[in-house]
Parts: sequence; structure tokens; C-alpha cells
Amino acid sequence: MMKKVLLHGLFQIADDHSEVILEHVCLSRLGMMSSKEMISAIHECKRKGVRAFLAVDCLLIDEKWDEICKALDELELVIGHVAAIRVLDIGVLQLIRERFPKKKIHLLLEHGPLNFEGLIFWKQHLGDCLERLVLSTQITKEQLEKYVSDPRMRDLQLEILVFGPLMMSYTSRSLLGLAGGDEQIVEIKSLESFDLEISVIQNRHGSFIFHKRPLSIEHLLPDLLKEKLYLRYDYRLFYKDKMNFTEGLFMENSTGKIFDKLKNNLLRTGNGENYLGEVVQVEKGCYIAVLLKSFVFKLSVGDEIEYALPTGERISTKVNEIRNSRAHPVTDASYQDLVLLKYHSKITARSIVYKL
Amino acid sequence: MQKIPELVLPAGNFEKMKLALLYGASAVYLGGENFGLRTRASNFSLAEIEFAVHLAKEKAAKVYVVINAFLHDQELQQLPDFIRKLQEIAVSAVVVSDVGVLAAIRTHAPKLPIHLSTQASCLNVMAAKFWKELGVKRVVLGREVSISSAAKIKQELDLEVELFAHGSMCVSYSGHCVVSNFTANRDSNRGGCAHSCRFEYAEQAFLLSSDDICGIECIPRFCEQAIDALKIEGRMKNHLYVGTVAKAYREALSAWERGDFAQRLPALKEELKKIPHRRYSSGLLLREEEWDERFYPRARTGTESKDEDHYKIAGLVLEVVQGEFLLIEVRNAFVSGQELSLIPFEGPEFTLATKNIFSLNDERIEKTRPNTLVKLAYCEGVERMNLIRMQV
Repeated sequence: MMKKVLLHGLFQIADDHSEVILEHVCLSRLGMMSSKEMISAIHECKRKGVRAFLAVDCLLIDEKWDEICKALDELELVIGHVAAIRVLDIGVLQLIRERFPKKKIHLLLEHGPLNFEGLIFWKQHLGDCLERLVLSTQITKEQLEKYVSDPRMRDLQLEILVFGPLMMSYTSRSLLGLAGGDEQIVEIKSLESFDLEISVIQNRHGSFIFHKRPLSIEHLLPDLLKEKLYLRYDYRLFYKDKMNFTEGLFMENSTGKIFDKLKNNLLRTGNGENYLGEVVQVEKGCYIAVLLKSFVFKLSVGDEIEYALPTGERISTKVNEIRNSRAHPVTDASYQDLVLLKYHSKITARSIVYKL
Repeated sequence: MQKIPELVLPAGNFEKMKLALLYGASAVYLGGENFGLRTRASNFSLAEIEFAVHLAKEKAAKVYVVINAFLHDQELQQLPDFIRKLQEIAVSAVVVSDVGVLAAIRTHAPKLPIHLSTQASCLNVMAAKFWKELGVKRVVLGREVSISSAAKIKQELDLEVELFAHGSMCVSYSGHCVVSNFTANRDSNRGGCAHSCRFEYAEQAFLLSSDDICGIECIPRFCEQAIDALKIEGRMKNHLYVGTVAKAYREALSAWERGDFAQRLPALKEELKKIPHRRYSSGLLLREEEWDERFYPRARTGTESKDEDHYKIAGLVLEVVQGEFLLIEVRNAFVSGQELSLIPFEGPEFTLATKNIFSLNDERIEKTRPNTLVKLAYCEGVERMNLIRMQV
């Protein structure tokens, strides 16, 4: 049977959900319940046999600490009835562990770690009090299959969002206007990037940026994952087009592919691998000016060198003469010296020079 | 207790690192060829990091290596060799945000001092306590943390604290923005941020684009509250930025120590206006006085309020041939007779004579070209690596 977790700011428990996340207006980023409503909701969950989780998922500066403590005070008598507390801020995690040492923790790993060692770290560090890791929305199907089958994850619950708004950014700032007002929601479209549309919600906790389409990945989950994972459904939709979904990065996270393109690898110096310096100027028919940047190698008359051009071409040559910036011949030169070498028509500025 | 904070400058490449140290940084942070958040910076090979440590030691400065990306499984497997080498060459600390990375360091390079990156969004005493118990020596606090809160964390935990003092700011809690990941297929937490927050949006204009932080007015507060280190953002910023900011903040700290900070402040603020920047604000450093600064008025006015760039780098002094000439690497074209200012490592800038410009072949030049070398008349007081600035 699928393990479904319902996330809803208002108290509505669907029959096919075995768990529900309750969000208090002071404790949860998108919470709307007052303490009175929360107490009533917790009792209702108890009556229906539904596991209730309390979300305390704000990031907190110390100036806001008292506000959280006060809200927790108001709920003190019913916290014993919640099955676990869900936390994002590491300081809040510490607070909950100190104040409610027997309470189970669900740790929200919103944007990281995205490596297995990070998950193991939390499991080992938090021990028995950690009931569940709520994984990042960037986790892929491939990662999940690996994680659920690893024996080290045994006895630890893993949860993912399978349906609902895809939060992409969280800030304490009030992006839509003066702080402290009622909740506002706007949809905005970039004038600079085609297809970049986002929804922004602002409330007392700050502003939240959501993907223009809700995430929907349940149909992509193989049975093995459905059995082993806890699946979260978030029905707080505010989308105009309710039929248009995104699968996010679930099937493939190729967000690292860009790195190869961001840099001209041909111009990486790799200082220490026979790197000598860089061509800073070429005077047609006269000289190639090279600034020696290696702190390992000297350049001497008689050396064989290689120029690596920005185009990728490589040209080798022997150094028959070295002149300094005063055009005086010298026998060798070292770090930070500017030297003039024999002109070669193909070599351009920004070429890298290696010693062979 | 009062103290002069460490001044931590960005080093996008080796040349910028040297500039930072020469202009007043007491520490630099830099990235290796992987595992950092500035993929487009030139970054440092291991050999360069080793030499950087050597060079910094000569100036009694420190080198921090950032490993602050949120690594995926495959990348994490490549990490042990790198951190073992960093331990061997004795970098001053590594700056991390991912607990997987932290765990790897504790296993494979346990002697490496660890600083917690701002990417981990450490915002309160309890969180800082957690990281301290894990062996973290210093926390680079989130930009949401005020100076007084940072001081409280330091006092209660006896833990080193570092605050961002100058530069661009993320609109989000650091490490909590993946807009690029889902809209541009670029991992913001591994160095691929597409800066969607700087875009203009229909109707709401630049509502996501944060002001730049400028904390130079807060120098007395930083010192009085004994903040351990001030971080300057900007490994992707240019040479002029690195030199100007390092010098201004170093002079501000020295002025505070001497007791003439108030007199020096106006001139230093003017200096910081000479580098490209968005509208400056003290951010949340002085939260108790500026609570409402959490929102950005320009979102409603529809102008990004980016100050015009009135100054540019003209060049860099590559060589000083005593009594003969200065060899200049031209970065932006200038003409004969144009007024150029030389920025010495200490003390006021001065004007360079440009009436006579010569090529390396000693041919007279009227107009220089970028990325070429020229000779200017020798001038007393000029040193190798001095920056030359011009008004545009």
C-alpha cells in the first residue's frame, strides 16, 4: 500500500491519506492555522487515527526565536499527540531535541545534501530521534532507487514530494511590498528570458518563489519506490492552468552539464604541469611578449616550448633568444618577468605557454 | 572586547589574489578547479593553491579554499584526494556547506580547519552551536544576521564569526534557491546560477534583484563587537573591484584603529562608488534600526538603480624599470594626454603622465589598444601590480 502524506495548511483530511502535516501560522512558512485551530486539528487526527506531523519549517534569526518559542508554548499540551516534528533550520532542530527529546524528527533536506554520504551523516548523527528524511525535489529516480536499496538506509523513512507546488526559492524579504501585511500571491513573467514565469507568495515569514507549474511525478514511480518511499501530496494549488505539470529533474538531473561549457578548458593553465606563462601581446613581424607566471619553471635560451592557442592548436618551438622589456638579450627569465620571444605568425594573445 | 576583523577578499584567479593581498587583505578565499560555486572564475590548480599559501604566508595572510558546492554522489567520490592534498599543503581552512563534504573532511583530512559557508544559512545561536560541536572553527553567517546577533553567537559559543561586509547579495537565503536548476537547467548550488533574480519581470520590474551590501559605515560596529572576519563578495569581479575594495576597507579599519574613522569615511565611500555596483545598502547588518529595509523600493519604481560605471581600469603595472619607464598592460584603451590615476597600495592616488606613450619597440603611440603592452614615463612611487584607473 502506498504511504501517502497529505500537506495542507487548512485542516482537511482525505480518507486515503494516512498522515497529515499541520502548519501553524507562526511556526510554518506557509502555515495558516492559529493555535486554537491547531489544537483542534491535532485532536481530530487522533480521533481519526491519522498520524499528525507539526511543521516548524522556518529559517530563523535569533530575533525571531521568542516568537517560535511562544507558539510552541501554546501547543505544549498537544505536542505529545503529534507523531513527529518537521524541521528545516538546524537551530530549530536543536531546540526541538532539547525541548521535546522523545519526539521524532522529520528533517527537511530541501536543497541538499544531494549525496548519499550526506544522508548517512544525518542518520548517524541524529540516531533514533530521526524518523524520516524529507528529500530534495532535485533527487532523481536513479538516486532514489540506489538509496532505498542500500542497507544503510534500513530503518529510516524517506519522503519525496510527488504532487504539488514546486518551491524554488525562499527569502526572508518582502518582495511584493511592505512586510507584515496579508498574504499576497502574484504570477510574474521575465522580460529577459523566454519561458521564465514564476509565482511569488509573500507572507509574514518572507517570500517564496514557485515554479509556474506544479510538480507531478507519481506516474513515473516504479512500484518498488512507491512501496518504499513516503509520498507527499500538496494540494495547495494556486495555478490557473491546473492541467499543466512539470516532472522537474526527476528523470534526469543534468544541471551540472553546463559546467563544461562555462569555461574555455583550452585556456586552463594547470600551473605546475609545465605551465610557463601567457602571451600578453603579439607584435606582427617583431615579437611575442610572454608574461612568465610559473613559480615552478624558469625560461632559458635553448628550451623547447609549446604554445597552446585559444583555438586548441598547439605549436612547438625552440627558444633561441630571449629579450627583456628593454629589448636587451638575457639568458633566462623567471616568475613575473616579461620576455620577448621570436615572432610566429599563428600565435595570438592569450595563448598559453608550456615548457616541453 | 574590541578587535580588528580579518579582511577576507575574493581571489578569482592568481593575479587577483596577489592584488587583494597587496591592497590590504589579511586573507583570501579561492576555489579549486572543482567543488566551488564560481565555475566561471579561472580558479586555482593544486599547484597554484600551494604557491598561494606560500605567498600568503610571506604576508602573514591566510588562504581559505571554498568547497561550498552541494556535491552529487559522483563528485563526492573525487573529493578525498583533493582534501588530503589541501591538508598536506596546509591551507588555513576550507569553507564548506554540505554535510557530506564535512563528513568526508573529518574522515580523510581531519586536520583541515573547517569554516561553515554562508550557503549553509547558519542564522542563530542554536544552529551555530550544532556546527561548533561538529568541529567547525568559524561560521560565515547568513546575510540575514545582524552585527549584534553575530556578536551574540560569538560570545555565547566562543566561536569565530564572519559576516559579509561588501558586494552582491542573493535575494534568497543562501543555498535555498534553485530557480536556475528548474528553469535554466543550471545548478545554482554547484556554481551554475543563471542570476534569474537580476532579470526584469513584467509589471514587477526588478523585484527580485537585491541591492549590494556596503558595510563600510559599520566598521566601528564590527570592531566594537569583535566580529572575527569581514568577507568581501566577488570572485567573478574584476581587478579594479578587488583592489579598490581591499584598499578602502583596509584604510577604514586602520582609520578606526587610529581614531580618525569619521573623518576618513566620506572619502572611502566615494572610492567605493568608483567600482561597478548596484545601489548600496547596509543590508541587514544594522537590523534593529532598519527593519523595513527588507523590501526594495525599486521594485515599485521599476528602475534597477544600478549606478553608472564612471570609472574603468586602464591598466596594470607589469614592470617598473627604475628611472626609465613603467611597463603597463592595457586593459581599456586610453589616449595620449588622457588623465589616468594610479592607485598605490597605500596612500592617496596620483595622476600619471600619459603625454608620451610608447610601444615595446619604442614607437610613439597616440591611442592604446586593450590587451597590449605600452611604456609610460617613469614615475616615483609606482610599484609592480599597481592598478591604473581612468574616468569615462
